Amino acid sequence: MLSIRNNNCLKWSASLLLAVVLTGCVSNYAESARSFQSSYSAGNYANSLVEAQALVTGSSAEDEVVLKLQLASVQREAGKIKESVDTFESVENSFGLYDAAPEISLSGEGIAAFTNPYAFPYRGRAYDRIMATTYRALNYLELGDQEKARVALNRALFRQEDAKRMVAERERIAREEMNNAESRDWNVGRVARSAEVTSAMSEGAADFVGLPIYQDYMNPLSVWLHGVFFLHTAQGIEDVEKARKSLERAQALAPQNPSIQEDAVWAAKSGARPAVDGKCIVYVVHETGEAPAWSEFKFDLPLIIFDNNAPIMRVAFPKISPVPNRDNLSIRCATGNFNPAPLVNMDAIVAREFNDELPGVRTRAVASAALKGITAYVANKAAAEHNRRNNTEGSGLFYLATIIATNTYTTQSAQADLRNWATLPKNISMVRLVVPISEQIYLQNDLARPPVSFTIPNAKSLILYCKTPAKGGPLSLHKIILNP
Amino acid sequence: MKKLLIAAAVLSLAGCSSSRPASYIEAKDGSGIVSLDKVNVQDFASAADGMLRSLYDSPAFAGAKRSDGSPILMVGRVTNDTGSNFDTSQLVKKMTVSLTRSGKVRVAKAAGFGGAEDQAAAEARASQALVTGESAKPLLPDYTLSGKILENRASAEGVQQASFIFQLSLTEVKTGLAVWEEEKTITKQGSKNSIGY
Repeated sequence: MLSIRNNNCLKWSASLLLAVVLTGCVSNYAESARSFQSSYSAGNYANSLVEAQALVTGSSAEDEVVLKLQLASVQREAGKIKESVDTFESVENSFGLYDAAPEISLSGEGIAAFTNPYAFPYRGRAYDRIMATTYRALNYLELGDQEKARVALNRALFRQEDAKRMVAERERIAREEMNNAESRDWNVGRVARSAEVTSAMSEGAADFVGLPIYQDYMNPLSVWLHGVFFLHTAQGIEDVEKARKSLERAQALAPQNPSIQEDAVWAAKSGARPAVDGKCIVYVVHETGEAPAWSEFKFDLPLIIFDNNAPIMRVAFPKISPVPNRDNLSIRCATGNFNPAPLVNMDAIVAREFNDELPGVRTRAVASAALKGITAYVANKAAAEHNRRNNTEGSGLFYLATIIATNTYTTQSAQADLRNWATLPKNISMVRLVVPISEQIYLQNDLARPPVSFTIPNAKSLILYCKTPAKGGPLSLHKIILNP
Repeated sequence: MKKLLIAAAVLSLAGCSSSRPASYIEAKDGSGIVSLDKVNVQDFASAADGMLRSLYDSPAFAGAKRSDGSPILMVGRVTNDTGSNFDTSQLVKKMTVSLTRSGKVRVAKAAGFGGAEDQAAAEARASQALVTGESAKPLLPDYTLSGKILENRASAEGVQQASFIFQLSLTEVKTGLAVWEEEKTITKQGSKNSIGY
C-alpha cells in the first residue's frame, strides 16, 4: 500500500513538474520589451539606449537580431552613429548566416510545437532587412563614408529583390506545412479552416484597409535614397542613369510626393550632378510615429477529440494594430512655409508582410495546439485508467492533478510570436527645397515646441533627416552632406 | 503515443551537430567557401589572373619609354558597386604585385588618387626636398589604372545567381586614351552558400 502511495505521489509530482517545465518555456519577450518601448516612444533616447543595451546583453541567441535592430535604431537617434553602424553590421552578418543555413525543417517545427515559436531564431522579415540596410546607408552618409553608403544602398536594392523571393518561399512552406498537417490524423486541416480560426485571422484587418500596396515589395525610402545618392554623388553617366531609374521607381511608388519628380526630370535630361549657384538643394525627410503594435489574440479551438479527457486547446495568433500617435513637421525659410509630402507608409509595409505570414502562422499554431492537446489527452487518459483500476483517494487526486496540469499546459503555453522591430516609424515624408547658402531654416513639429533652426552650410546638396517618435515629441536631426 | 516517441527522438537528435576541423586550403583550387552574396577570395584571385593574362598579352606597355626606367603606373579609383563591403585592393594589389615583379611598370606609392598609398614615403619625400632645398619632383605617372566591380543578381525556381563583373582600364596619361581594357565576369549559382567542390 505504501509503495503504491509512493508511486502515486511520484507520478503526481512528475506530472506537475512536467506542467511547470513545459509552461516555463513561455517567453516573456513582450513584457521585457515594454519598458524600453515606452521610453523610446517618449523620445527619451538616453534611457531607451540603456534599456535596449540591457535587453541585448541579456537576450537569448534566438532574440538577438530583433533586439539588436532596436538597439541600432536607438543608438542612431542618441547620436551614437558609429555604434549604430557596428550594431547594424552585426545584424547584417546574422542575416548572412541565417541565409546560408538550411531552412527550418518541418521536423524542427515539431520541436516548436512542444515549446513555443520563440524557440526559433528571429531571422528578420524582408522589411527589416531593407530598412536595416537603408539606415546603415544613412549612417555611413552621416559619417561621410560615401563608398560604404554606395555599397549599402546597392544592398538595399538587392534586399528588395530578395523580398519577392522570400514571400514566394514563405507561401511554398505554408502550403507544404498545411499538406503535411492534413496528412496526419489529427484533423488539423479541418480545425485550421474552421470558422473560429478564419475569424481570428481577420482580427484587426479592417484597421489597415486602403493603405498603399508597394509594387514588388519595394520600399520607397530605399528606392528614393538610392536615386538621390547616385544623382548627387554621380561618378559618371552610369550613375546618373541608375539615379534616373530609381527616382522614376520612387515616383511611381509615392505619386503624392512632387519633390521626387523634380530630380527624376533632371536625371532624365542631364548627365551630371544637379547644382544651383549659391544655393543648396536640401531634402528634409521626416520620420514619425510608430510601426503597428503587436499583440496576442487567444481563443479556444474546436475539439479534435470528443472525450471527457480531452483538454482545452487554446491557440494564440499575433495581431497588429495601428499606433495613431504621429507628428507633423513644417519648415519655414525666407521663401515660404513647406510641409513634407508622403514618401512611405510603414503601416502598409508591415501589414502586408504580416498578412503574408498569417497562413503559415495559422498552420503552425493549430498544429502546435493539436500536438499539445494529444499529449495532454494521452496523459489524462492514462490517469483516468489508473484511477479506474485503483479507485483510491490517491489515484483520484492523481487524476485530478493531471487534468489541472494538462489544462494549465495547453492554455498557458499557447503563445504568439510578437517579435518585431518596434522602433520603425509609422510614416516617412520628404520635401525638396533650394535654399541660399548661410540662410536659416526653421523646423517645427506639432504642439508648442520651439522650432529648431538650421543654417544651410556651403554645400551643393544635403539631407536633413528628422525624427519625432510621437506627436510633439523631441525632434532629432541628422545632417547628411550629399555633394559638398 | 508512437508519434510522441518520434517527437521525443527528434528533440533529442536536434542537439546533435557535426563540426569540421579547421584546415588550410588553396584559394584558387575551388575548395573555398562559395558565397552568393559576396565576392570570395578565390573570385579576386581568378579575376586578377584573367586580367593579368589579358594585360600581358596586350601591347599596352609596348610604346612606353622612359629614360629613368620602366614606366610609372598610378592606381586610380576602383569603385565597389556591389552590395557587399570589401577592400578593392584585394584585386588591384594582385595586379600591381605581378606587374612590378615583371618589371613592366613601377607603381607610384608616394602619390595617388585620393592621397598617397604610402603616406610615410610621401612625407619622407617632402622632408628630403626640404632638407636639400630642392622642391620634390612631381610624380607624373605614364599610366593610370581604374575600374569598377559590379554585381548582378537573378533568381528563378529557388535558385539564386550572382554575377560579379570586374572592369579595369589602363589609361595612357599623355594621350588620355585607354590602352587596355578588360572585363571578367564571375557567376555563381545555388540556393545557399556552400563549400566549393
